[in-house]
Amino acid sequence: MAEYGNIKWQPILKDVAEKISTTYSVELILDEAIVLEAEQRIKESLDNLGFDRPNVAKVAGQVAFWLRKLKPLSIAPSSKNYFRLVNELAALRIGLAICNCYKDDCSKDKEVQLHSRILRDWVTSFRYHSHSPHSSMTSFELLMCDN
Amino acid sequence: MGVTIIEASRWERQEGVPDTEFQPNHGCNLTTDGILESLHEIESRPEMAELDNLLMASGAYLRGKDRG
Repeated sequence: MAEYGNIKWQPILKDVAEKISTTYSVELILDEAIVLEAEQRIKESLDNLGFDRPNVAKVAGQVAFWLRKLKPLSIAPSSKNYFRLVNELAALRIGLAICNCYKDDCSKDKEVQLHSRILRDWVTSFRYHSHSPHSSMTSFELLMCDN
Repeated sequence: MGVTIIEASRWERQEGVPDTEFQPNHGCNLTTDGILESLHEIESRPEMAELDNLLMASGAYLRGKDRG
């Protein structure tokens, strides 16, 4: 089985959701059926790339794409506050976390470089602009390049 | 008259997503726990707190009194 086939995305998504809920003071609903759908789509997409062990940027791109597309998180009606970008932020955070796994075990020496303003634009773009799985993968590949 | 065939280059014949060269494509040992640990590490970075501040200052975030 390909390496990524054993990853369970629900606990990862739940962890991200809890952090967003706390930081933004919003009550969130996590739809398990959508998570299961996303898991299946992620696995199929990665299988179709044809690599047994796709690099972290490719995994990150596919995961981020499907999470922002299928939107497993929603704001509970009882939430006092509202945050429109919850799925997009969760998708990006998980994508970055996947890329961050590349250091130590592999050949990347430096931390992933993050720029808050670019990340803000990326999150917003995830919601309002067209993104394909491949454009998402390319974005993470560029992030991972050593200069 | 006649047909001229322009042969595809070796690269153009490749199927699927071309591999990048900056890192070997035999990936890391991604696991659920590994990603969770990495997530906590990423979220502890100051740039992520800055990102949260930027997003909370944007029109995408509505506090209770502004929800209508």
